Amino acid sequence: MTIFRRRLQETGKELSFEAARMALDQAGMEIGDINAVVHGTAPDAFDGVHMKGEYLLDGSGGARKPYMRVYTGGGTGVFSAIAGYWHVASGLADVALVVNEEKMSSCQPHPQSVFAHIWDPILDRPLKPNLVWIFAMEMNRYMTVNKIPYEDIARVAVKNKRNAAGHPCAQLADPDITLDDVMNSELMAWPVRRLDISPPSDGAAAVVLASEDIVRKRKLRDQAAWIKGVGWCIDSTMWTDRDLVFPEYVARAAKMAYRQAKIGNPRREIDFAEPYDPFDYKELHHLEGLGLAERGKAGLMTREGVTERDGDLPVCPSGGLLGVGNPIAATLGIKIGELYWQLTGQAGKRQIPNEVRTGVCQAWGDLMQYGSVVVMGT
Amino acid sequence: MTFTDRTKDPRALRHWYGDIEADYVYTSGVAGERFFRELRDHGRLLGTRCGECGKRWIPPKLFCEDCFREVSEFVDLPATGRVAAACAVRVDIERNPLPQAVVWGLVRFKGFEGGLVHRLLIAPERGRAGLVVRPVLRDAASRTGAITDLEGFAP
Repeated sequence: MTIFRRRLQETGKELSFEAARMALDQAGMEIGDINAVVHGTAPDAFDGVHMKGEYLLDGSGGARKPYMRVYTGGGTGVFSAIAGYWHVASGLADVALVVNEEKMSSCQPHPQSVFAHIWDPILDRPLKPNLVWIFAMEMNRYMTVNKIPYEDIARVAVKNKRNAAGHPCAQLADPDITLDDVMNSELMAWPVRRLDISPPSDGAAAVVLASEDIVRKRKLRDQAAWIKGVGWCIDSTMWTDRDLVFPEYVARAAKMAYRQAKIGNPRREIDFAEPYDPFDYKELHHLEGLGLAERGKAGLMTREGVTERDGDLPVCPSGGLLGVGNPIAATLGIKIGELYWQLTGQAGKRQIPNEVRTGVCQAWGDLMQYGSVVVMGT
Repeated sequence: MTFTDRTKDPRALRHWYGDIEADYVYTSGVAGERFFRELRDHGRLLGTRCGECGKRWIPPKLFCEDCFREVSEFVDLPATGRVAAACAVRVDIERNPLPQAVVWGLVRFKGFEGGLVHRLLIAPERGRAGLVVRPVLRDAASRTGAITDLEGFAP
């Protein structure tokens, strides 16, 4: 995983290479050991290169191999690992390399100009919508229906930015941030304030997925974590058709993953979680979708400290997108990566003090629409 | 439901024109930065050589595509290359005839993987694979550090 920053010099290929090489080195592998490569990256319009998957493939080690690019918006951060998992679980590949890259700084003056074109060109576009105000409406709906005070939402930003203080790649870590800092930050689109959001970034992350046979033969068991279940789901095209209070797409994706992982009671059987948190309210939303909090109660859990690193259910011990950064697809390193590091005891300063054996991560993409979920265990 | 009518003119329908107002800043990366600075400042064309497998790459890359190792050694290109493929463009994108054909070539260099695509500064009938060519540079004062610092290739 590369450092998350505005990185104008390196090309997306070079960022991909840096992450892919790190993953290979850690697994003790060379590119010749890799049977298939999956590349995850969000819209072509960020880098300003169409067919971005093809453009980035040499930096991802995909040349002259079975290679594919997957893209499910922000959901790519976890979904590319699901696609890598298919390759191995199907038996088509013994070892798959998953590389995710995002370089949002190419897009001028701000990637929002590109995001503006994810809406319906006739119904929405003439109104010049902006992601912040669309999500402000979802946040407002969630708070209103569940009667959640803003403080409980802002606490998520405080927790995650503090958690990120131990992350070597973090862009937004702040060990001293206070609730007042978040609650008094610039109001961007009520009720969303600046510190409720993770800003754009550049970076890359990679993971090596191997079959049980390979793990055994290469004696990698001590440093391996296992994918136990995968799930994904997308909701209807029009965001106006959706509930906005409860993320059905996450709930369905989680149900699929839990069924495969044989998890009947997620709140009891899952030790920690890495839900997608580009906005602080989304962590709460997603915890409820993942079945880790009762509907409308994730804010209360946060206030009571349950989701702190030393709480009963640590949430975003990595620091999440709010603390580490949000180069869309490259958040693979915060979600899948953190599950791996925590489960294998390699999280260093971020290591959860209680023993962890099962974790779940989730990414969210498209327009309040896409859920991708992976359960991993020791 | 089967759509059978052909409609070519949106003016008969409610319609909206649109632009995607995206601007970009592209950078050439760690390896590309050196390539373009050398081209601008010294008129040199550089490739990279992989310390692991010895393969040389043009344009230069920070990594070897084959052995997937970081590459840091820069090497000069030979003074001449050879046209591997050529074409002569006769019409523009709107099918208007061009006053003079534009000849394009893929030029490869002995001992190097890859190659450079650029104009061949020759009559169209001479644009054939196998032609030995050399780079033609703009004068030093007008070079900016871009691929257009090359005018093209000529015999």
